Amino acid sequence: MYKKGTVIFILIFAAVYIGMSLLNRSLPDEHIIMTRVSADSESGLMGTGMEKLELQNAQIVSFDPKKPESSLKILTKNFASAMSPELSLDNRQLVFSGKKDIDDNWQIWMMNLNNLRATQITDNGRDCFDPVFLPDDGIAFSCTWQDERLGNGSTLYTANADGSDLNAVTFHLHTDHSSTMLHDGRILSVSQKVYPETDISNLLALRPDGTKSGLFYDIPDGYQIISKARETIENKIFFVAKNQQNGLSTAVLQFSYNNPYNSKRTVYSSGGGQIHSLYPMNDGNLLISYRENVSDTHGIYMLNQQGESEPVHIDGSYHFFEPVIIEEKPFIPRKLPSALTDARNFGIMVFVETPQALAETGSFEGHKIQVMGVNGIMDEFPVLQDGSFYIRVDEKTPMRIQRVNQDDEVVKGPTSWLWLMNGERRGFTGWDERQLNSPANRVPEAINHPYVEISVLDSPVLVIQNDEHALSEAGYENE
Amino acid sequence: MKMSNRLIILLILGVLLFLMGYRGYNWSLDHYEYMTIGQVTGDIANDREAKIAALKCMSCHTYTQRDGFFLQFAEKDYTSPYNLAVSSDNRRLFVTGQESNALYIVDLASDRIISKIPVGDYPHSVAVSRDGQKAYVTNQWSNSVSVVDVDNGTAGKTIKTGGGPAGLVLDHDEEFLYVANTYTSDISVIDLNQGVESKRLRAGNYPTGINISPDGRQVLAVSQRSVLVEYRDPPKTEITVIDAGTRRVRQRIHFEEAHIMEKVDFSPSGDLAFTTLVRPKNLVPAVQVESGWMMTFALGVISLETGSMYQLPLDEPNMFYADPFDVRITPDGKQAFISHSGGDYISVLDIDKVREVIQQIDEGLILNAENDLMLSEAYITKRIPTGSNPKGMVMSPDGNRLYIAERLTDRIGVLNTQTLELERMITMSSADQQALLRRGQQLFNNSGRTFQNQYSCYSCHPNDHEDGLTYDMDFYPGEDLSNVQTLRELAGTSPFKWNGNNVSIYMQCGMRFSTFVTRTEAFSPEDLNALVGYITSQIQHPPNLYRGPGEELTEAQRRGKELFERTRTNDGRMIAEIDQCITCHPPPHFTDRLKHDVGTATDRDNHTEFLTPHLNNIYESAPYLHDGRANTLEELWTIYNDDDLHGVANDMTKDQLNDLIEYLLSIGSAEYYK
Repeated sequence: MYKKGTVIFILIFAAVYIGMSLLNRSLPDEHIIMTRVSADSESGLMGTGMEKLELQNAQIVSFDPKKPESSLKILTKNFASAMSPELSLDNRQLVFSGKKDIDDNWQIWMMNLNNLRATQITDNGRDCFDPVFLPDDGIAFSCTWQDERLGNGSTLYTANADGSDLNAVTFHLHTDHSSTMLHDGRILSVSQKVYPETDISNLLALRPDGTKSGLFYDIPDGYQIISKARETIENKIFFVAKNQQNGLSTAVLQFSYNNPYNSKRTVYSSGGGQIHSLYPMNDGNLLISYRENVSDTHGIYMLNQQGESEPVHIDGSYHFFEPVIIEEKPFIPRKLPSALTDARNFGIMVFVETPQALAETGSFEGHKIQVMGVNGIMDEFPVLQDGSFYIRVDEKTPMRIQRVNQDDEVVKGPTSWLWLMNGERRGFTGWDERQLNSPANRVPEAINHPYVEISVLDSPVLVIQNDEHALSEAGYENE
Repeated sequence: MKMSNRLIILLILGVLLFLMGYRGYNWSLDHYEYMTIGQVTGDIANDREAKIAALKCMSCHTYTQRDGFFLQFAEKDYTSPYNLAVSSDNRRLFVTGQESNALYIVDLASDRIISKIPVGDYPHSVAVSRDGQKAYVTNQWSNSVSVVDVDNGTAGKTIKTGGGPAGLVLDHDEEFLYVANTYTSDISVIDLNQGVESKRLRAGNYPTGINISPDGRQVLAVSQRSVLVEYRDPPKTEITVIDAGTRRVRQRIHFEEAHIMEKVDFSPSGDLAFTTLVRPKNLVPAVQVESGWMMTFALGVISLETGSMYQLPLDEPNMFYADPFDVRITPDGKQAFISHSGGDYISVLDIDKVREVIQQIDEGLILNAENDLMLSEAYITKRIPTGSNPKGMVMSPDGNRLYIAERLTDRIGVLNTQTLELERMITMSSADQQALLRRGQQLFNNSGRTFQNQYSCYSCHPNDHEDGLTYDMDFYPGEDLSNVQTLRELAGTSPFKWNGNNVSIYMQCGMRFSTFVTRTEAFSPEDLNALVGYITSQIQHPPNLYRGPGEELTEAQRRGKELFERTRTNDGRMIAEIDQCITCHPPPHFTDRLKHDVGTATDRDNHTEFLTPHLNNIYESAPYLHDGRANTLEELWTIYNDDDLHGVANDMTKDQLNDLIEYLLSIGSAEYYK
C-alpha cells in the first residue's frame, strides 16, 4: 500500500526525532542538583546570608540517585564558583549564583537544562545571590549593600528572566536572603535586622511587588535559621535551624502555613552532627545535607517521615549541600496581581488597636505616635482616643513606629523596619507584628480625620539604588 | 468577458471583501477591547487576537444573554441538594433539590433514590415526622410548605406561609411547625391539626435557620442580616427565642458584629446553642485582606443558662474557612461539625474544648477571643475536604454518620463520625457538573480564588443577592463608601458599579477585581467565561412579594405608578423632564444606565454623579443610595432629597409618598415590563 521508501523514511524520521528529544533531556526527572565544595573548604560553608559569599571553588553538580555508581555531572565547569541552584517551575531552567573569576562579584546566572548553556542575568558591582523563580517566570534574588554607619546588608530584588525590569522590593535595614516561594504567591525570605544590630533572623513574607511585607514566622528563641524555608504540597514549611546555645547543634524544624505558631515541630535533630540544607520531595521525604561529625564532609541523605535517614550521596572529598530534585513541583505559586501605580509615589497605612489593648490602656491621653527614619524621628503626632492612626508616607521609606506616653517613655514598639510601596495600602491590628488578630469591626477614628503626611526629613539611606544595578542589556553566554 | 477582465473584477471583489472583513474584524476587536479591556493578563495581555481566543466571543454572545437562544441547550438537570433530614430508623434520607423543585427520598441501604416528589419552587428545607410518614418541605419561592405523604410518594396539601420560607422545625408533640420566612422576616407557626398557619411572629432580618431545644421548650431562629442599626455602626443580628409552650417570642438576642447566621443546633443537654456566622469588617477600610481585614468566620455559642454569648473563630492566621453554613452536634455532645460552603470543608470541633475556651473567656483568661485567629487551634480537631458547596447536614440518630449535601456536585457525602473519613457518596444526578454555567456557579460560591481563601462571591452576595452592608473599598479610607448591590438579573443593566466604570461583568470580575478584591491570581479566561455566564444569565429574583406574577396593581400601587410617571406637581407646575422619576428610571429595568448628580454625594465622595440603579425588586435591596445611608425607600425623599434633585417629590403628601413607595415595592423582574 505504501512505498517501502516512505515507510523507511518515516521510521528514520521518528528515530531521529526520539533521539533528539532524548538528547535534549540533559537532566531527566529525579536527578538531584546540588552544590559541592572540596572537603577542606569550610569557609562560608555553614554561613547564612552573606556569610556564604565566602565560599570559594564551589560547583553545581547533578547526580542520578538511581545510578549511584555513575559519576557526577559538573554543570558549572567554567565558573570559579557557583552555588544555590533553584529550578524553574517547569524544571527546564536552573538559576544560581556564580562568578566566572575568583575576583568577580557573585552574580545571578540562568542555565537552560536542555543544553546546559548559562546566561548571565545580573551584572553590577555588588554580590547578588540566592535566586528563585517567580510564578510569572521572573526571578527574585538578593544583592548586598554596604554603609559605613549602618553596616552591611542585602536587599531583595525582582527582575524578568532576562534581567530586565529590575526592581528592589525590600527597603529595610536587613539582610534578606534564602528566598523561596509560598503557594500563595508570596516570596518567603530569611531576614535579619542589621541596624540596630541583632542576631535574630526571622521569616519574612512579601508580595513580589514588595507590598504587604511582614513577619511570617519568628524563629523560636535560641535558634537561628540557616537554610531556605521550603513549603510542601501539604502546606508544611521546613527549614534548618541552629541552636545558638550550641553552635554545632542543628535541627530540621517544621510548621504549618495555615497556623505557624501553633504547629512548630522538631522533625529531626542532628545531635553531634550538622544539617546544612534541605529539600522536600513530593513523596513526603526530605533530602537533607548532613554530616555526622564536624570532621566529616556533608553528604546528601534522604530523611523519611519517621525521622530515619539513609545516604543518597556521600563523598569524603567534598561537601554536598543545597540539593534540589527534578520532579514535578508540588504547587504552582499564584501569580499575584499588583496594585502599584506610578500615579502615586506614596503609600498609606491604617493602624487600629486591639480591643484588649484599649481595655488595658484605658486612655491614650498625652500619648504620641513617633515615626522614625534611619536618622531619627521623622514625625510625631498625638494618638486618637481609639488608638488608631492613618498615615501617608513616601514610597520605599524605611521607618519604624513607636508609641510614647506623656513622659516620652516608649510604651509600644518600636516596630521592625517597615516601608510602603507606591500605591500600597496596609493595615495593622495592634503592635504584635505576627498580626494574629483581625480588627474589630469599627470605623477607626483616624479615618474621620485627614491622613498624617509623614515628613521624610532625612532621606532614606538605603544605599541600593536601581540604577546602581543596571544590568547588561544582553547577557553573555557561558562559552 | 475576457479572462483578464474577470480577473480584475475578482481582484476588486477580493480587495473589497478583504477590506470589509478586515474592518469588521477590527471592529470586533475594538468591541472586545471595550467590553473586557484589561481583563486578561499574563503572556497574552498585549495580544488582542489571543485574548479573543481566550475569552470567547461565543461565550459572551450565548451564555451571558439571559434570554439567549443557546441557553436552552445548557445543562439544566441539576438537583443541587440543599438540606436534608433522616428518618428516625436511619433507613431513609430526605433531600431537598433546590434546582429540581423536588424532594428526594434516598434508601440508605442501597444509596439509591427511591422517590422523587415534585414540590414547590426552590425547596429549601425538610422536616420529617417521627413515624416517618410525613415530610414537610419549605418552598422558598412559592411561599408555602408542602406536606408530603412519604409512603405514597406524593405532595398533598400545601400550606401558605410568609415570604421565602426556609428553615423549619416540628415541635416535640408534632402539633406545630415553625417556619422561618426569610423574605418577610417572620416566623410562621403552623397548626398541623388544622393544616393552616395559626400565627406569625416577628423575627430578625432574613431569618433562615430554626431549631428546637432538646427539651422542646424553646425554638431559636437565627437571621442572615443585621437588624437596623445607626449608619456606620457594626451590624448586629438577631436570634429570636420563642417559647414553644405559648408560641410567643420570649426574647430577642443579638450577636454583635456578626451576620449571615444560617443554621442553629443545640448541645444534647440543652445548655448551649450553636450557630454559624460571618464577622464582616465592612467598617474597617479594605486596605488589605491579610489577617482578616475583610471578614472572618465563626461559631456563635449561646449559653442558654446564663445568656452569655461567644463568637469563636473558625479561621487560622493564614487560612480562612469561608461561608460556614450548617452546624450539627453529635448525640453524645462531644463533637460539632460545620460545613463551610465557600471553603468546601467540614470543620470538626471538640465540644469539651469549646467549653474550656468559654470558661477561660468567662474567667478573663482569653481576651478578644472573637478576633483571635490562633484560637481555633484549641477546639478544631480536623478539616475534611468535601465536594463543591457543602450546605445542609444531618446526623444519623445513632450519631455514627453525618450526611452532607454537596450542593454543586449533586452528591450527598457520608462521613463516618468515628473515623472522620468520608466513606461514601450518594449521587443525586447524572448532570454534567463541569458544564460551563455549573462551573461558573461553583466558582461563584467558592473562596479558593481569594487570597488565603478569604471569601467567595457569595460572602458579600449571599443567595446571589447582596448582604445589606456598605464597604470601605476606596484607596483613601472613609471615602467613596460602597453599598453592595444585588447580582440578580443583571443582564441589560450595564454598566456596573456605582460609578458606572465597568461596562461589562467581564470587567467587573476581571483583573481589577483580582487586584483590589480577591488579591490573588486572576480568573483564567475559561473560568472568567464560566463565572460571567453564570452571573449574567442564571441569577434570578424570587417572585416579588408585593405583586405576584400576573397580578394587577393594587389601588395604592396604581396611584403610586401615576406619581412615578407624573409630569406636574400637586399645584400644577410642570416638572422638568430630568426631574421626573421615569426619566432616569424607565422600564423594563427602570434605569437609563447613565450617571446623574441627584444631590446624594457627601463630602466624603470623590464625585457627585452616580449610576442610576435599576429598580427591579428594589424592595429586597435595603439599604439604599450608593453609600447605604437610607435605611428605607421613604428616607430617600424625606431625608436625602431636600432640593428635589432626586426627583421632584417634596410637594407630595405623606399618603402620596406611601403610594409611590407601594408602587416601587411592586416593581418586579424586567421581563414583565418588556
